[in-house]
Amino acid sequence: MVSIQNLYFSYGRRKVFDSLNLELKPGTIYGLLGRNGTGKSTLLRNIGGFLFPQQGSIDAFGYTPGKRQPSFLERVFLLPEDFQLPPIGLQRWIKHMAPFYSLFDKPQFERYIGEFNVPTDARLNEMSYGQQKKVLISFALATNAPLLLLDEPTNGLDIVSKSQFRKVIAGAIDEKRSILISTHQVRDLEQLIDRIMIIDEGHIVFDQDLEHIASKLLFKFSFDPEEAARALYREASLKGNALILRNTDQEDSRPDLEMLYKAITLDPKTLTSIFHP
Amino acid sequence: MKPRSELFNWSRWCLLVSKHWDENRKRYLLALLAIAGLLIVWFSFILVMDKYTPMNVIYQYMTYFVGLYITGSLYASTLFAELSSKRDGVGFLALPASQLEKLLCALLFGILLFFVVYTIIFYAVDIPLVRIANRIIASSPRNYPNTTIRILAMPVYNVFTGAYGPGFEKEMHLFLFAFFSVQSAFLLGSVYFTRYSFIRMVVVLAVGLLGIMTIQARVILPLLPSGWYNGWTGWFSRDAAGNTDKLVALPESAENAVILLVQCAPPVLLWIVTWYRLKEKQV
Repeated sequence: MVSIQNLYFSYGRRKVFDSLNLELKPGTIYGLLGRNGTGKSTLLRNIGGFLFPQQGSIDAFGYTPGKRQPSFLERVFLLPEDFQLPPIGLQRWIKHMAPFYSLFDKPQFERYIGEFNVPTDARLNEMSYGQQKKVLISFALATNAPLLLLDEPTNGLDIVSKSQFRKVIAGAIDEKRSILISTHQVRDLEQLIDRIMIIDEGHIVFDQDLEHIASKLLFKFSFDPEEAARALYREASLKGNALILRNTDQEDSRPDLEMLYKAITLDPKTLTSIFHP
Repeated sequence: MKPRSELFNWSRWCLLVSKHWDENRKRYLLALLAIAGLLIVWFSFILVMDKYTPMNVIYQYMTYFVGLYITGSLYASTLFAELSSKRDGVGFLALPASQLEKLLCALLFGILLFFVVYTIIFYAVDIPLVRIANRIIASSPRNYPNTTIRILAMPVYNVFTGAYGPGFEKEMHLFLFAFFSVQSAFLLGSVYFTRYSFIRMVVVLAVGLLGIMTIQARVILPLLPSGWYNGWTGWFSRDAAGNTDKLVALPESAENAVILLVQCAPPVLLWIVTWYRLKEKQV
């Protein structure tokens, strides 16, 4: 679906990506994690065609994103972290925006808006940031674009809305669609993400399915000091030490993405060597 | 179904125009009312202050062009204002329409419709006020100061013929055509500069004008023989009385072609540059 080869990108002298490679496949929800300033939003903007690679190439459904052809723009929807909607009513906005997307499904949009409890008679500029974001998320999903790029989608959403967001996204993914979510709020999306990608120092340093992670790593709490000593990563908590261990006995555990992220950024070599022996 | 063109599709462009109008109509209508209000205030001021020739053609000519250039260039510099920020730029560039369609939409509103609507508003204010001025002249006939020449009724200035206006406007419609070039330059500036595009384009145009004047004074004139001058489309010399006695000029057809090129080519060239700039714009 999307193939990025040897992507190099910099802002002036500040290098952001150096020979970055990435493949996105349909039917998958990707979680893109990384520290501030590592280029998560820049990567989304490169894939969306808003920034151009300085070296290397991006291929999305056979299109070069930087050419911004209308048929490509119909197939990719970027939900930016920061946005502004025009000062008109929701219905009027839909009337003008929807015809640009040939696969737009109005009943689908109305269903999402209903699930998010967004008032349909309000003007967009009079809505709260969270409500505007829900309008954009609903619109993005109703365009039926095969690739959705969501930049910090849960920022500004309240607790109930985050839960609604997870439900809506989980229901919207199918075998033709891929969703790439850039986020700091790992816990918000833990149950949603199929594959995690961690970006650091201009590269994707970790790119694995959650199933595969669960088969290789064991996440558990333990008061056992021996186990803690064997851990690849550990954190003290009230429930005992939170540990990441090698899953040698194929035990079942749910990956804790926040811990995994911390472990990888602290010692990327050890963790990645388990997946690429 | 036949796939839609990636470069230009009429129905997609109509959607774009309709969207632009719907999102901006309130702002545009208020701006037009403000222009009409300013013209009324300005002409009323002239009517009160000038006891002899209120609303004469030069006032109308100056007001029309000063208003057209200032409001037009301010408007043109806002047409791609979305591109000055990441927040708005993504929404603008992500809309599934080609960059050519987006440019043509901006040209429709910024160049064509603005010019037509401004001209209509100008005359909607100008014609009644010229009539009022002529009623004042008719009700209290008087001569020009210190002469026996009677002040006659003022004509309405025609921007398309330039009648009663300055010679260069009558002959070549210099300011009328230059407006489209200036407007197009400000449109390019709104894509090219991320901040303060209006001020920056004013500086660029001022430096450009200064450059042309310097070339004229320091390069072209010194190359000409003594007593020869550089005209609009040729060279001429003057006799002792100050009249043109020799002229080096292009054949009339070539001269007309050059004038037409100077009138029409710069806006088209600037639109092409704007289109390319829009295609390579990153946010």
